[in-house]
Amino acid sequence: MLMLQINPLEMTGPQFLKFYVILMIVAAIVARLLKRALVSPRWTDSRHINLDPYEAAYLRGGARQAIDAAIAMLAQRQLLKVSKTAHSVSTTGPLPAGAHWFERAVHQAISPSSARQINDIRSSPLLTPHTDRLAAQLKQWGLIPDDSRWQMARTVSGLLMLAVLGLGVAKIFVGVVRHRPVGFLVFLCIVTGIITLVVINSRPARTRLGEQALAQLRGESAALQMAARTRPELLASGDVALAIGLFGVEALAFTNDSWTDLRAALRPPPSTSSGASSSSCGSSCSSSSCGSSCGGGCGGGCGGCGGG
Amino acid sequence: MTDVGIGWRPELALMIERDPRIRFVEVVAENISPDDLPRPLLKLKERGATIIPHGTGLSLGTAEPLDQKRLAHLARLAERLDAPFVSEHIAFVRAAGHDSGHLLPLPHTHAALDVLSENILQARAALPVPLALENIATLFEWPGAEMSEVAFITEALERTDTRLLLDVANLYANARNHGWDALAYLDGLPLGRLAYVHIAGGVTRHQLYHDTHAHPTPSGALDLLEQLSVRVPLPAVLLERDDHFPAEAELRGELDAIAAAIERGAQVNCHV
Repeated sequence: MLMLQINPLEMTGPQFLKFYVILMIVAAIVARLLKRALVSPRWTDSRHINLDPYEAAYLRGGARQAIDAAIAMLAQRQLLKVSKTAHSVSTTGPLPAGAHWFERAVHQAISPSSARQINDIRSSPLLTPHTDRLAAQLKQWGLIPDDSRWQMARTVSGLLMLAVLGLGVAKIFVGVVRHRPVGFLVFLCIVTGIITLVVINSRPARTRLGEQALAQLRGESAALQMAARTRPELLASGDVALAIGLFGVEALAFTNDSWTDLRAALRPPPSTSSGASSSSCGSSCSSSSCGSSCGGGCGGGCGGCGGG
Repeated sequence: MTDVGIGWRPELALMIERDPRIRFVEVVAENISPDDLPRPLLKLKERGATIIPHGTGLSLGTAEPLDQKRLAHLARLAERLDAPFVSEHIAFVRAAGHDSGHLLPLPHTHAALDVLSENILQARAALPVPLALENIATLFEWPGAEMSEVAFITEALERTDTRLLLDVANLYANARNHGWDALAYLDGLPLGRLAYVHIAGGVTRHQLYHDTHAHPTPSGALDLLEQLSVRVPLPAVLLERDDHFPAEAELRGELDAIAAAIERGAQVNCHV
């Protein structure tokens, strides 16, 4: 009750700074929780959901992981030739009948005549409709945030942070009018502004249901993970795809040269590693600012856009 | 109906998980922690499969007190897995602080029998479930034997009221390498104590048969299994495969061949 009777704008400078730091931290935590809660669907049962390998890959790491999984599958079936040094791939022939539609799309996006950079394939506009199709299915199941929920979540959590920022700005005015130093408060308001920008621009990679579904699938597939680690050459191709989707290319311990080359090729080149999150995420998300076209993908896949 | 199972290894976890006919497996006790059981094993347990902890390092034949940590590990595993037995080998692996890394044969003497029996009784007292002991494959025999292996094993089991895990592949290997009469060996064993049976593959190198667990099961071992099935109803038979894992179809073929051998033997004496 005492706190409610105190007008923060009437606090002394040091008192307000302490109060504001606490308020900023609490608001950032609450905004993050709110955002996570508001993007998640009301239903909570993921047991009926049966993901195919590329949906699983998208759920785990967004569009980039799905594309990498398809490249890995095509390479594993000798349908792609990999250059580890150039980080590029080229097709070796037509796809067999019965290939997954997403593998077909990735295969078509790779030039048959000349090698194509893996980073270019990852950001190819030719693949956007196909990765959107994967995302749409995951959104329908409530595993990644759909656009309307995300808009509501970012609005509510953003407003919360803006209210805190507004209070800080108001106190700056009070301080200026009273000829008090406001340097520390300006700094804290800049920090609050940055937090606000992060909150409203970091779309969570998965909803709570998505986290639950992914953990459940990975747990249920522990035997597949063991087989992938210990004798991948005996796995059926559908199992190889699912293992790549759920656990990544690194989880498969193939020892042949082409697989080793593939793993090296899929790793980002050392020279661009420091800017990996901005360059690779930006390339696939820039047109929509991590909006609908990349869905939850940017969060898990790149880290830089995600973290929500 | 005899359960036909296979030794659980990470390489085989997926195949075992997807084959509902496999309701009997064994895990190498030293490879898993009772407090962190692999999830595929927990799933098998949930579906009602029998899981036996199989020790390889207790060294029951060593003339020293048993390693209490190893015993406690086996006991805890048996509890966590709801195992009906714990199994180990009639062998020694270490002595005077040296670990051979192999299962070594015991001299078939009265003194060794006393040591073995004492250790078995110690182990039994520490375990929450019955103990089953396995005959091992050996490439040599100690000189100065005072009795045959079958007499040695029989006396140890009878003295300590312990169950038998009969490895027909080990018997096949010893019969080939040492010229033993495998059928007489079967007839000499206390088959009423049989808990379950092991079978595995091997390979002949330099005139010696090696029980590798990395090659297909030889027909001679399957014949011995059939002969065993003629003599006694078999509770369960387990294929051991530890390396050079073949395609699933090939392993399933081996399991089918094992089931067929059991069936042939059982029909002779109308056990089924």
